[in-house]
Amino acid sequence: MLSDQLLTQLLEKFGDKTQKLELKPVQAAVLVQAQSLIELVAYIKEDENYAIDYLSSVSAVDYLEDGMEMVYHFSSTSKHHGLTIKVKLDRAKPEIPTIIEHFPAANWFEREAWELYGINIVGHPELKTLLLSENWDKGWPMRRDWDDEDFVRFPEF
Amino acid sequence: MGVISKVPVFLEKTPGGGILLTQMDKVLNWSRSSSLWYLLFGTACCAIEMMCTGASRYDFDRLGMIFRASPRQADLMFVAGTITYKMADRVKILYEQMSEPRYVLAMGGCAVRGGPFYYDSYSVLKGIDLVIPVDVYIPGCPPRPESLMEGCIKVMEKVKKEKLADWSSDSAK
Repeated sequence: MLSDQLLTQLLEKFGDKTQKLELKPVQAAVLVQAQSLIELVAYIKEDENYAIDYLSSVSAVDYLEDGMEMVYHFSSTSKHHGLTIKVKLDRAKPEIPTIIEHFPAANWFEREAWELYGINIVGHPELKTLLLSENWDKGWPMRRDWDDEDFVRFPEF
Repeated sequence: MGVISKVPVFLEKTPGGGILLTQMDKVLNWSRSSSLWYLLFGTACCAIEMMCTGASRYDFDRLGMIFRASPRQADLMFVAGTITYKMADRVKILYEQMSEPRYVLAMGGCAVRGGPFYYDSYSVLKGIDLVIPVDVYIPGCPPRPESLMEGCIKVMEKVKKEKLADWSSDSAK
């Protein structure tokens, strides 16, 4: 977990583009606006106090009327700390820039977020299905309001 | 050991030896059912059970069954495990590559009807028989090696009922 001092510094540097999230004691977390994501990711990668060099996961969450969220888990192998970055997305038109430029590991994670949640990854080099079949045309299956004729819901008791 | 136990049934004793009077069907079916080579192919935990059945404790070899890594040389396909929609296309290609006569054994709940993934799953195929024809179904999650062997014996019984006259290029099944 990122120390309080580093987290405060980060929040001060990015000002009103970021917001602190209370995920303690699990993880230091920051909510950032979509247009400032690249800037923030580049900063924590380049700055030697943070030395973030490892992307553990990228995932998406669907909160229905509360919009969607992308969650990035970063950590540093030299400093032994980690940082979670969250981005709120508009559910009607979810869009987020790719971070492949700084973390190539994001490639498949972002493809997965695209195919399962329909989040448009702007600037992604190969946005095609990864886990679903090549001719998948039934929409975004991990969205919570998704339905399909072959999809059988577990009966309620 | 099959020859020694089965041949005397057909053997006609003549002075100075014996001749074998039989039908082409019987010979072919006997040889096919005694060497049912299966495709080494598994997609989930049922495959572990299949490997176990193939290994020395349960030993498929005593039924004349040897795994083949190529569908071209295989007579029998175990669909061992969960089949997703993406995998279903590939299973179909494997099936089409097998030479006739070919048999399919659906092993475990997932291959039979989607198993535990029947509900609330967007990716799992609800039964492999929606894609390829199936000869024998074995329920279980996963089935015990004994039930897999019984399933194979059922396939053998089916092979023994094949008629040469029924085979043609477009209606092998």
